Amino acid sequence: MKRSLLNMLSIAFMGILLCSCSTALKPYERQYVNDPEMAMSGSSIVKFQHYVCAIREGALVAEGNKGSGGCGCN
Amino acid sequence: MLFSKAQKKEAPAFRVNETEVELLYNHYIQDGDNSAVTGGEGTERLIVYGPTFNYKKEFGKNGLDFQFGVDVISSASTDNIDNIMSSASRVDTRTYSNLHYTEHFEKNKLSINIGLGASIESDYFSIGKYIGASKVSKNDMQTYSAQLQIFNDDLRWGRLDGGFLASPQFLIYPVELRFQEWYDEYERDSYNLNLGFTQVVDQRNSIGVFGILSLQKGLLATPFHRIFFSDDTEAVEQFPNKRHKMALSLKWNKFTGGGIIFKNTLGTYIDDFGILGLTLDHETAIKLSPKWTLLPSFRFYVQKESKYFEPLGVHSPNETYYTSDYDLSSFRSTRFGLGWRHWPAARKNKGLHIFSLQYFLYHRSDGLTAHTVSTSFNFKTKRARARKKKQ
Repeated sequence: MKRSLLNMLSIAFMGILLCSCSTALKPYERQYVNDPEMAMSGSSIVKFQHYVCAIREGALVAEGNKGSGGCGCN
Repeated sequence: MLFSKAQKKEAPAFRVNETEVELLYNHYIQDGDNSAVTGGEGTERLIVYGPTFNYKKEFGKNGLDFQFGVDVISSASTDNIDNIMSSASRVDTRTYSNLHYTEHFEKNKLSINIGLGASIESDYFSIGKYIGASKVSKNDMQTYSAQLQIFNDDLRWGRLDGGFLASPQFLIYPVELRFQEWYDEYERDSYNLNLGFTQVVDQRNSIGVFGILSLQKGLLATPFHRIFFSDDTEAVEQFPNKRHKMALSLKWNKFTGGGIIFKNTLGTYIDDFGILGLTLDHETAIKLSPKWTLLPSFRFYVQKESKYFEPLGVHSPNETYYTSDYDLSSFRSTRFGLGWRHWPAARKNKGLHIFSLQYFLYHRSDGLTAHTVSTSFNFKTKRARARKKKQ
């Protein structure tokens, strides 16, 4: 799994390099990417699921910012 | 002449003031047989009733975000801190609040945000501090974000039980282990650095890379988690007083034909307790009409256990660090979700903006099962205001 983390890092950097070459969209071409369902950050309901998983599993969720402290010890 | 005069006349400029109120309720039920309170064997039955109030206001260049919530926790395992035999569930309350302020710099497409937060339970008090920034590229194709979070926690018991906001008294150990102090500290500090990058790839695809680096210091064990050693003696959980964590997520959102949106996440996690995690997460949003969206989802997670974990009766008393908390064991978990989102006032500037109802079923390979029902009522008010002319 350590190898998969390194692979993901290299894929991420390659993806960033490739995508930064993509051409800009005109405002009228942004109909789909600006749709609220396309938002990268999740809804409050999804954030609560990240919170539950962060407690019930040993791992952190990278895009799920911790909103408040708490022991999660129950 | 007339034409040039008309050209000089400036069009009135408006700013939109937006207020958003969200009423959220999460109902969480869990059951399993590996409670860390009873040393790795025993009920994990838990019910959480969680109402939350979110308030967001955008006024001109500034934004304010306020959150207040309460989790009422009915936990059979916590009851076993005092009594090994199961009895009626103990009820605890976690109250939390956050306030964030954002300043937008339109010229540079830059936002700076700062925040403060706090949460309190009978055996826990946490203060959170946040500072961050996000930047959108000139052509609106990329966003970059960074946020530093600092949490200063105190694990002493007694703030809610000896009268509201009473002085904390001591760490709470299992009833039969209160003859000595097991730790020489009661504070825990966490420093999280969140980094994010998103990129619009084309008209229907966008990707994101998110990372978190985390350092925890202080008392990282839970004082009332029991350990039963191989020679039948007993102690409480012990961990090193430092933990480094790192997580990375790749996200890919795709708007396909027919109003179907696929949101995919691949995540990895590693820390120096020896835990490795891999997550595959998929959400689909099916737009049945402009006002109705169906939300099926699936998540798969696999974890390699911490080097400090062993089941009940396996740890040797000669070890320095030990836990029988199954959250840190090796397992696989799956989560299925289904819900819908309703946009009753998509084109109006006032009233109920979004209503969501979602259900999640979580299952872990060690037998733990959890159900969550979440509902959200989101109200929005938009008002356009003419900008003040500079003198």
